[in-house]
Amino acid sequence: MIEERTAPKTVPVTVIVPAYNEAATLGDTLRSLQSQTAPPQEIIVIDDCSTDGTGDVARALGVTVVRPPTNSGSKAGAQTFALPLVKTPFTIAIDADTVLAPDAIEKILPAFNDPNVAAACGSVFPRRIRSIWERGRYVEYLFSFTFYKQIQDEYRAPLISSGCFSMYRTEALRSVGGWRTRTLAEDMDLTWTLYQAGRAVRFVPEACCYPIEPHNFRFLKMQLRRWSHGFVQNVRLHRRGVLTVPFLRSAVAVTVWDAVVASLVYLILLPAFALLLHNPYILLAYVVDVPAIVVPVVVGAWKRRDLGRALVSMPSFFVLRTVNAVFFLAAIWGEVVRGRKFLLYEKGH
Amino acid sequence: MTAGIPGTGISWLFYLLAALLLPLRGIIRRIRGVRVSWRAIAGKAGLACGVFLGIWLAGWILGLLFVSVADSAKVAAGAVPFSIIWRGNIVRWAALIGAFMTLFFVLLTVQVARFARRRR
Repeated sequence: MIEERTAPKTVPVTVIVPAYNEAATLGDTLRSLQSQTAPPQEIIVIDDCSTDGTGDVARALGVTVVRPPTNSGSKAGAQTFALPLVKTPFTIAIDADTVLAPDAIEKILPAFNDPNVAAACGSVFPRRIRSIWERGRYVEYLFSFTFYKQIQDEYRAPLISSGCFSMYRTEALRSVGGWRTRTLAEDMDLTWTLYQAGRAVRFVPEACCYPIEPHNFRFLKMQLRRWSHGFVQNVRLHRRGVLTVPFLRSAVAVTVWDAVVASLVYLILLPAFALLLHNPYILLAYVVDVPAIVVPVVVGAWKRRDLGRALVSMPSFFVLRTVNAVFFLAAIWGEVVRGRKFLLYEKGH
Repeated sequence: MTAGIPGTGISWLFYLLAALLLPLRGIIRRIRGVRVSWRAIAGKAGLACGVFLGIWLAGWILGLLFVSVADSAKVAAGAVPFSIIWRGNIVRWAALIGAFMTLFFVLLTVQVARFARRRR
């Protein structure tokens, strides 16, 4: 008996892939989209005036390539440039260095059975887990996607629909003007804007994507600067608007409190008190919350059958956490104290 | 924490309480006729209990380590009984209550801001 294999039926989804000099990684991204169990109807690559042949890589794989007349200056600008070309009811935004699990689109699509859902995101895990920064980020993601984000979703208020992979209802996306360039975290801006428009956002843990995370401090610096400034900019921009969104308003307030206070405590207060009071036991505060991190990480890693690597990566997390604190305080200092809005988009994966 | 944003100060307590309230919220939603996944709720509430127990256990172990580092020689020599020098769990109720009060203050501030905005 000859088994006939037929190509899976496409779903009414257009994928937008903004790309600036991404020739090295774009091919993997496009192939992961083309081999989906529920393949998208169209894939549009925005070749944002690349000089490394990004457009040629995309064309060779048979996807639609558009090129703005000048570099749009940011991911949000490139994505919004392509939005008028979308003809399907659903749009996916994905980074050019991110690959999807083969069933990611199939898994995320049912979230839109509820007509009020405007956006949905999935779990994120680093594609490469080798350097200290990638390992630290792996633990961060395991913790966040196993614990915090799942609870946020139970209360129907994920803090952010991740920019590296999210699906949107095209009509909702257009109604809010697409991705805006007014902050460095366009995904957070869009998520909070959708909430304020009365739309829902969901998190689908089973839909997984794998971006390339910064492998060295140079790239990490660019990414953390973008994230920390973007977060502060969004809090300032939406500080009144988020008050109308249940749970989100509390989650944002708690996150802001922790980001500021925890950073000050970590970097200044704990060592200062330990020195002033001649009491090294005070430094135990650095590790007393370890179980709060370890338990969700172990549960998340166990489900992925990757417990060993997660445990080995734990020390890297504490290094990354301290670095996060430095960048966050710098962002507060620049944006709030000095009043200088930082809008230079630097690609740091 | 959200990836890239530091802090586990009161966030863990906020999410722990939010997870523990999920069963109650589930009952209310069920009464209102909304479909509820009890399995998902039990998983999250169970995880929150695991986090709480883990913190308590870590405090207890650290308390024990203090003894072995600082006073184990005295105990070994029989100079003092173990029960006298053991400092107990280093996670104090006072610290937990302090964190809870801080969280309460932050959430109250949000509610005040919300009502102030509504009145304007």
